[in-house]
Amino acid sequence: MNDLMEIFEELRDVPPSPRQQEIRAQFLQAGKQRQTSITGYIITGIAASLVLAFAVGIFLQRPEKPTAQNSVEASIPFDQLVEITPDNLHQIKPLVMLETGGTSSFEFSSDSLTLITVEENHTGSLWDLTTDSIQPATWTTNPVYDVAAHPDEPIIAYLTDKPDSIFEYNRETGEDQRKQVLPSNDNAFVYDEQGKLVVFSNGIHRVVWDDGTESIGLRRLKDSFPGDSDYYALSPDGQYIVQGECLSLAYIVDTCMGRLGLWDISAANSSPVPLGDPLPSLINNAVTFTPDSQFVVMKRCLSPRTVFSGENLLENCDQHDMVIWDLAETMMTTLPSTCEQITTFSTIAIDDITVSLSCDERTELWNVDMRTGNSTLLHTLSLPASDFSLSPDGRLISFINNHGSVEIWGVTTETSR
Amino acid sequence: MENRLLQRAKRLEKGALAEIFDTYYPRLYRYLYYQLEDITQAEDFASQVFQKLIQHFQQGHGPDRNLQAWLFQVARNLIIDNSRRNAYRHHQSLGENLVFPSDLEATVQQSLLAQRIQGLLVELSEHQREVIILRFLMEMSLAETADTLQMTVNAVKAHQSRALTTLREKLKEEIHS
Repeated sequence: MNDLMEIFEELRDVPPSPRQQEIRAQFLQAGKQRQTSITGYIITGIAASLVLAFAVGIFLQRPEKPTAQNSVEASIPFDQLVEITPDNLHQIKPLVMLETGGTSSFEFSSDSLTLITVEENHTGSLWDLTTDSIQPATWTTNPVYDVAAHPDEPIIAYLTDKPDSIFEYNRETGEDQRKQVLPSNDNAFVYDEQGKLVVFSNGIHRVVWDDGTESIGLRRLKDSFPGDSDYYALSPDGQYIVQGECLSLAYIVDTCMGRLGLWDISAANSSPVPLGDPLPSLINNAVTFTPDSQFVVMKRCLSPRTVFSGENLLENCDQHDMVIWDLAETMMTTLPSTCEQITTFSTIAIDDITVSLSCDERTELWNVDMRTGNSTLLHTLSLPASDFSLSPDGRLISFINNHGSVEIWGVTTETSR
Repeated sequence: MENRLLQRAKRLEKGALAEIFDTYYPRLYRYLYYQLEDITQAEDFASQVFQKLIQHFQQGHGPDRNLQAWLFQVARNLIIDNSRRNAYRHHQSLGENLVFPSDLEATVQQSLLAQRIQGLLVELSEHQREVIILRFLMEMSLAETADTLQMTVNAVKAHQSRALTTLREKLKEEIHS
């Protein structure tokens, strides 16, 4: 693997482009030539607009209500919201949609007063939820790919376009610092309950790093699977890594016959060892922990198949199921959902285990009682959604809709009666 | 920030256009060179991509965000169109054109191994080759690669995983043989 990366690095050099300046000049000239006529259109347009505005103004002399730029109004005041429970979940209704577009990551602050989002253009935004007129503020001009919020302090950990480094930003002081250089571009990170930043780096060597073992540095996982594994998750409490590996050559997109391993990374030893033997499993490349870190949730493909279309080999999966793995009891439960092709899934902490899954333009919210193995369908939303998150005060649910925008939903005092 | 730059570029402000060119041309040229192996052709294609961008701006269209993905997608389409038109390459997949500069090999210490990698890349599927090029030669993030190839991050990860596994296995086979 080392050799591969070294070779890739050496192959990156290319000969310079001799005509770069010439092409640049042509590009700028093309813009300039057209600008003349565009200016003509603009002037004509402005003149026409002025005439129209004057004509309309004669009839409608009504001043515009000033609004804050980019702010969005919640349809229901936040102070009318109640805590979301399994009993009132069916009464949940939309409060506001944040036109983020292409949101890749979001998280509530620990006080539930701010929603931190990262959008497709990799801008990090802070949405102030203290008023019903929600206004975003860009918290960094660096491209941001992923975020985590500190549980006690106004601090955000984030990855930028230099994804081999993790940064911390203090929302109150504005202090922005690089916390750690990592050996890979593929990283997951969380703050544990004590506010310790824990990072898993899924590179050539799988390593973990945290504030508590800063003096030791990067700790390498012992006996990590030798094969490539992008199927991994870091538990929210920063205690475990679950890692999957494809063993079968007949794997297809998103699916492989493989094994699933669990590492306890909580001990500040120099090389965390796996907990028990790996679990043989037909797994998908989607695996996550529940918010309490006690269960692993994974999407499985039940019917992998490969089809030919013209000259292309298409790989597909027609049927999925959701499996919940109880780490303590080594017990597995399958959700009895009728969803066949599950697109996305997530977990939120409304009750013991609440799993959301999307398929066929709908999203199902399930509660799972691992003691009995019983699953209950709590509610179905008539839209596909992913990456659910429950605010720490339990009053807001946010999710990413099929347009990539963030929607915030809640249950009001009126509807809960 | 990119949004503001694009807004200015759509008004055809020279400063914004220059900033866009200076930011993205080198990356685009590198990508095209990896794909086409030919300096002149890479420059021609890069020039065409930027001309298309100007045309879109002039018509009031063009990307509202994620300019890089837009530029790379246009470049990919040009390459695909070109390979379809080219009789010699008609029966070749896109990735079979992936050859690295011959003079580069003399400058690297692991030139033999590098040559093997070049040979092995052609054995990967089209998507796998593109993911390897974007991730490890263009040094794009998973998200950027997904945007460029118009696939999900998970799909990129899957292709990357399989491509690296294949490359590693092939290398092992060669070393053992």
